[in-house]
Amino acid sequence: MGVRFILCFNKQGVVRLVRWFAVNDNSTEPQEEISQIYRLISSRDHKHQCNFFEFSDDTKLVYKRYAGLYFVMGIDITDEEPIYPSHIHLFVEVLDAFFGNVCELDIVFNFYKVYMVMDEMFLGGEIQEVSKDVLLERLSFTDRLE
Amino acid sequence: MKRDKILIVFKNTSTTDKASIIYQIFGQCLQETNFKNDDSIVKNLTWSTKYYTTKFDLYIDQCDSIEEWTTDFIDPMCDLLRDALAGLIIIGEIPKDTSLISKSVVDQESFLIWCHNGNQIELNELDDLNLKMAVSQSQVEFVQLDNSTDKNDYHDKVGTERIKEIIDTYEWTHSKSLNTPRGQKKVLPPQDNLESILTQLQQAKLHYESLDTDSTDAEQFASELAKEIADKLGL
Repeated sequence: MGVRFILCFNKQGVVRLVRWFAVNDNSTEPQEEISQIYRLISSRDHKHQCNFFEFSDDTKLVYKRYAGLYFVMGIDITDEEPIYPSHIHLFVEVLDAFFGNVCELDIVFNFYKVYMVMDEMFLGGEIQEVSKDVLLERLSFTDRLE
Repeated sequence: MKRDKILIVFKNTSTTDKASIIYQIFGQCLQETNFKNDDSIVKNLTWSTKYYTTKFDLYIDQCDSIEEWTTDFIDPMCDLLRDALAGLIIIGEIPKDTSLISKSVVDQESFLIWCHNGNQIELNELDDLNLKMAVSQSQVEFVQLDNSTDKNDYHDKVGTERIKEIIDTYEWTHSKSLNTPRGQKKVLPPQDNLESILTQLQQAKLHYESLDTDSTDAEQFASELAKEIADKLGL
């Protein structure tokens, strides 16, 4: 499994999105794990440190920061990191195109649509579709059914 | 208890500067009020976003020393006020010793913004300070009022725009949702209409099978029927 979880939180640590693809083998509660992730990422030097690091025995974290929000992917320890920032970037680009200049408020009030976007892109921890045009076409069709 | 008050405290600020800062932040709300520069309470302001509106009161205070003001504010006598506060905005120079702000000045459910209006601080330095405070689980966010730009290197909003963003994303206890075009629910056809559509489809299928499928008539019939059904379903 590539992606173990996807997280999004703001600078204050308020979680806006969370999706788990893998069962947590550790004894830590998910909420505690999220707090730990927030503390680790917030304390990094974003200018001089890279966007990925080891988090536990089986997980590495890859993150990117966009306009006050941190998008974090927990990936398998054996996976190569460099592709995942581009997955995060694609996810954010699709959100931006779907909502039109997306902001935190859009994610708060349309969280179910953001999960819909996430489900179109990621299934079982693997990326399913990398074409932005295909994703947007599918999403606009699904959105019309609402 | 409803949290529908925002308290803004100024440290040693002239009346003109106070009014200018209040208009910078709350200008959109003050348009339909008779706000005067020396008002200390402005009631029934409306904060609007594309998803909701909410009503709140604005309390305006002034002090000579933020430390003394904070000490009085966390006194049990002010519990009722703190319980009613959605947020506290302090306008003054950021102190060198930020341990003052580590105290729980406001409740966990309120926001706390410290607007620096002294010498310019580098945006990166401010960002680092904010992250340090966030990691130490302090609620305060430092914002610089006078910025040459609306966004920093990470495209985060800064200055007045950031203050507005914090108020926008605050969890108001009593907001009123707006029906955005995306949020409007489509009216589904009633049950009997669905049954009639299904009957129509069955009849159309039988009719289509009786037509010569190679002719254009059959194709035309099928596309007209598809359009009719789509219109009925609201697609």
